[in-house]
Amino acid sequence: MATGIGLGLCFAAGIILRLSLFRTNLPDWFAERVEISNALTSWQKTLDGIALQDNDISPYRGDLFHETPIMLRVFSFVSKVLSSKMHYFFVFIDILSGLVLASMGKEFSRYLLQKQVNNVKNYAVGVEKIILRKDHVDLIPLAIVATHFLNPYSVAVCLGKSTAVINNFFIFLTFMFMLKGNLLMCMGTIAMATYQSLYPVMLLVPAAIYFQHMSGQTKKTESSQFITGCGVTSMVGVGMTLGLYLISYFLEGSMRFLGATTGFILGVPDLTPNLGVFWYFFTEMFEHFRPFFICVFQINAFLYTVPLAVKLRDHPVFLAYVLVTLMSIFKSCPLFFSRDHPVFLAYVLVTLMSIFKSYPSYADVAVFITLLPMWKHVFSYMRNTFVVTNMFLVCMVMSPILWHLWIYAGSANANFYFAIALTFSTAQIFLIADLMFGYLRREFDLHNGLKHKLDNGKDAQIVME
Amino acid sequence: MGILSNPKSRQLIVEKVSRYNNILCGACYVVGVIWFMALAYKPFNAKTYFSENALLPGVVESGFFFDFDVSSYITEVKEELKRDKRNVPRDWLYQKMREAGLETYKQNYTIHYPLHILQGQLVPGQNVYGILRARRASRVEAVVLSVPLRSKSSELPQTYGGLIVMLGLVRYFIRQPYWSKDIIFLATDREELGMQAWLDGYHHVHSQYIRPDELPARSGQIQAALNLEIPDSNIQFMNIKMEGLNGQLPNLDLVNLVVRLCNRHGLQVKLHNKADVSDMEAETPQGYLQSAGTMVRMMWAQASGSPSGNHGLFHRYHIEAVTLEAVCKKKTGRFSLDTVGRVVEGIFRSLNNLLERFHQSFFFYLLPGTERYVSIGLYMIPFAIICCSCLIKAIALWVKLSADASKPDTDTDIAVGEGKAGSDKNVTETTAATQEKTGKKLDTKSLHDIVEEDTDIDDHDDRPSGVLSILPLVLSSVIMSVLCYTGPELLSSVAVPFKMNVEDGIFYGFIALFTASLMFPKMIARRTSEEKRLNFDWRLLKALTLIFQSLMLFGLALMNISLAYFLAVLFVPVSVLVHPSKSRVSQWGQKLLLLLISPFSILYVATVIRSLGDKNEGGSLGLLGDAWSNLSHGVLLTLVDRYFFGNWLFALFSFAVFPNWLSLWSISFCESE
Repeated sequence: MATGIGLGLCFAAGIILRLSLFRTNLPDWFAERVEISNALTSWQKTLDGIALQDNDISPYRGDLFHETPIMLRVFSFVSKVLSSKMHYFFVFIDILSGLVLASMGKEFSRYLLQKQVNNVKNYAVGVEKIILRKDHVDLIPLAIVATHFLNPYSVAVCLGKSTAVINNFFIFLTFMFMLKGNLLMCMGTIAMATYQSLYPVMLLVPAAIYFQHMSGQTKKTESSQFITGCGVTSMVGVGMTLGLYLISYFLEGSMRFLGATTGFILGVPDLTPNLGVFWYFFTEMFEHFRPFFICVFQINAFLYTVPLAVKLRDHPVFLAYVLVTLMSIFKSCPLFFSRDHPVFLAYVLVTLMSIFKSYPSYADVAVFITLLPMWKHVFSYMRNTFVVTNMFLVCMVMSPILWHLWIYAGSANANFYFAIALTFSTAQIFLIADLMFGYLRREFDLHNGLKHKLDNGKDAQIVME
Repeated sequence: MGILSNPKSRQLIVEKVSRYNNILCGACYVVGVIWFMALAYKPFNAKTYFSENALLPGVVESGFFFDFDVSSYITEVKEELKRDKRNVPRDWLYQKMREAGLETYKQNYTIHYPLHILQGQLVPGQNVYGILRARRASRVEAVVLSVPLRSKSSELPQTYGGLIVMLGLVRYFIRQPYWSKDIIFLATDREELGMQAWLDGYHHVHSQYIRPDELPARSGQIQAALNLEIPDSNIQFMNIKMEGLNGQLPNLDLVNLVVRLCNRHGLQVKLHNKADVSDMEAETPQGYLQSAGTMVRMMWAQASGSPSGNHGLFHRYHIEAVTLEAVCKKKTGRFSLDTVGRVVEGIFRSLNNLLERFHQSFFFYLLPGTERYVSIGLYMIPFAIICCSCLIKAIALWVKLSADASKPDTDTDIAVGEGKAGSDKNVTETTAATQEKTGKKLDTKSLHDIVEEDTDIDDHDDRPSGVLSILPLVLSSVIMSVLCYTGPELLSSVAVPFKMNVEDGIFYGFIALFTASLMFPKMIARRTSEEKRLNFDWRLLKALTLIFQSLMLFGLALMNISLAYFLAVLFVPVSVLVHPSKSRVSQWGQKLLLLLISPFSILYVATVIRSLGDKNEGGSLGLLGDAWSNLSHGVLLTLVDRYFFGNWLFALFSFAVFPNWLSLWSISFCESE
């Protein structure tokens, strides 16, 4: 009951905040900020594309428009219906996301408790203190919705009319359908997100593991069988994505859109500065090295899926128990990890996406900040919250200042801004590393008990390497 | 990740920091302030040098001479000025420039005052400018020589000396074959407003308040500008002024160029009427005091955020510009206008050599003398040390907070999950020891019991904690700052129908807001059984405020180091000190300190210091009274600057300094434990 009122308050506060800020001149400023709207997500570019389309010129001919054909039609329809009241559309999408998140949070708390029940036989003695309780878990939906409506990144993205809110909506939907166990819808939303911004294709891996795990929960499946199952599930998602491309082809009548959307993401021709690391690197580079380094950078963006999937599936990621005074005291370190971290894996991937993608913006940050309260129970194990929070704050304040000094005042230069972009990426990596450490450390405690002693009777300290 | 992942070494540092935080904070502050001021001492700063070799200053032989009778021109201008108190010699100048064969134009503009000043009347103005087209290049770049037009009624010194020099230069330059950049000769009306109107017109910028007409002719991209403020002949020395809008400074190369050429022609250059220290004296205490004085004067001018001359408006358009101001003495002035003409000729010959925009050298610097500079690399270190004391205190408070949060763990009912970031997990690990001996493995049923068990999150301690307890305070500070920012427009629209003076209306409005903010901790206080008490998690609020404050100071330091430094010197010690206390003396002491650094007192003290510089008459009481009447005028001017030129000072005060002070103020009201 209290949660219901809380949810209602969050919705009301978020909507009022957004609508009242739309009356100031902040939205114009946000719409120009490179951290919020880049070539892929700028609403101005979308309007340009719609205008071209209306004049029977293919918007994909030039280097102007990078939305997908289906989204072009959706936006074109909406902008004609709402015309000058377009900001209601973006607030509406945020409300929808809020609803999805509330439902997802509920599913997730159920999932957490269920997982705990399933694994209880592996837990060590004396772990009552870190067992999840119902009334704590019940707060998760509220926390997620509150973060979604009130965190500055989400608000800024909505005010800046970044079209990435649609993509974020689909990512939230993916999480929801995954937790609800709806395979087809989940694959559909992943396909839609992939179709728009390519990188969410990585989400196929955790989703496949999750569904595979669900179907064979009780009996122990063979490794090869498991992988085949995952492969089949992913194929469904890939097939759906291809289907979307096919529809686009029929809508457009040519494949030109592919170069302007997916090709644009992969080839990184637009080097407008943003909070990522691509632009700086590629402006400095000789042209003939470009293809090679683009491959390196893009592979880097996707690469982490593999080790993370492997580690979080069978073997525990944390790995090392480096002991303070003496080494290798946990001689018999039991590897208890079962295949049950697909949701966490999905979350890690969402964060990594926003670090390594070619055109990152605050919209991607908004996704993982919004979903962060899912791991509320891990927070007490995190060690760098103070440092990481401050890094995020510093970046948020400094990036417009340094941008001003570089572009308008002419007294600073690109290096100043890139330093902030780099700090921001580092902050995100610290956050995710810290969260992973906390998560695994908690699992370790659940399976080994809270008290770790060395042979000589001293307190042990567990270190992630 | 060294310190981030190795808990052992980090534990050590965190412990040290939190144990000795008071000493560390004090040490950081003292060291930072002293180090910063020590930068004016000669061995700690560096001699200026030219980074841009293309300038080649003073290589050419100067050939400038007046080909007309200077004294007769001066008489003509004076005649022109005498005709009407408000008349400026605009038409006379236009005529003379035309006669010299220069393509000359006039630009009209209208000014619409914000905040209902003058009841929304439009004020017209007119600028005169002429363009000398380059003969040897493609005319895509230009340099500007500008002189402000001043009438007899102006409070500022006359500038007709500058007009004469400009006319002489027009006649001389037009005969020379070597120009590869266009030269724009510009005379602007109404001080900064006219300059802004011309720049807006030139760059096709449209604003609501200054409405320039279309320029009849224009040239290329402007590379640099020189503004002359020369009252008359008999020049004693020159002042170079470089502080621009919002504390922006021109490239140091341009400053060096002007200084070097003045020195070459024997013309003495000073900063804010303060001569350089001679090399012999530089390392003596007197020498240090003199250069420190010069540096503080320069910082004072920069901190105000308003341009010290018409050059300050160019910076916003990425144009490097300085003002050369002459100080004249009837008897002792040794230099004639010829010398100034030759200096300006030299400067323009050098600018003519430029191959690209000014981009080398420094944009962030402080000057303890015309030939010594303190670069950003030098002054940022002591500044960062000052800010460090805030951060150390914040970390110490944070550590205390997380230690407090994990303390209730001894009680098994309370889940660790509620604890804040655990930098020390030892606590959780040891408390489990007792259980391990007696406990048994969980099964599904006992698990279910634990899960369903009602946990009492809210401990019985009546001391409030967590974000929720400080939320009302933070929210009301935000509302106060929004009120402060939007207040003037509201007040001025109210003041007009009531036939009130706009200036008074806004000023008294601010006083009302300030009084309300003084009372605000009382208003928020929650009524408990006996009396009103203000009780909240002050450690959390203080940690957040300190972080906010350091962020604000650091962000500001990148744009306007002087303002950041002055604010840091005032705010850092008080913000570190303030805490709820039982003793009356300490409570009232803190409140007094906080009142002294309140935005209102800062403004008042700043006005007093400014009036001190203006005139020394009427004794100290008269001074304070003058400052009070100047204060309301100053507040209005800052507000108007925001609308006309985009000055940030007001926004900074209402959105950063004011809420920061409000939360410190409310901490001093918090009930102590």
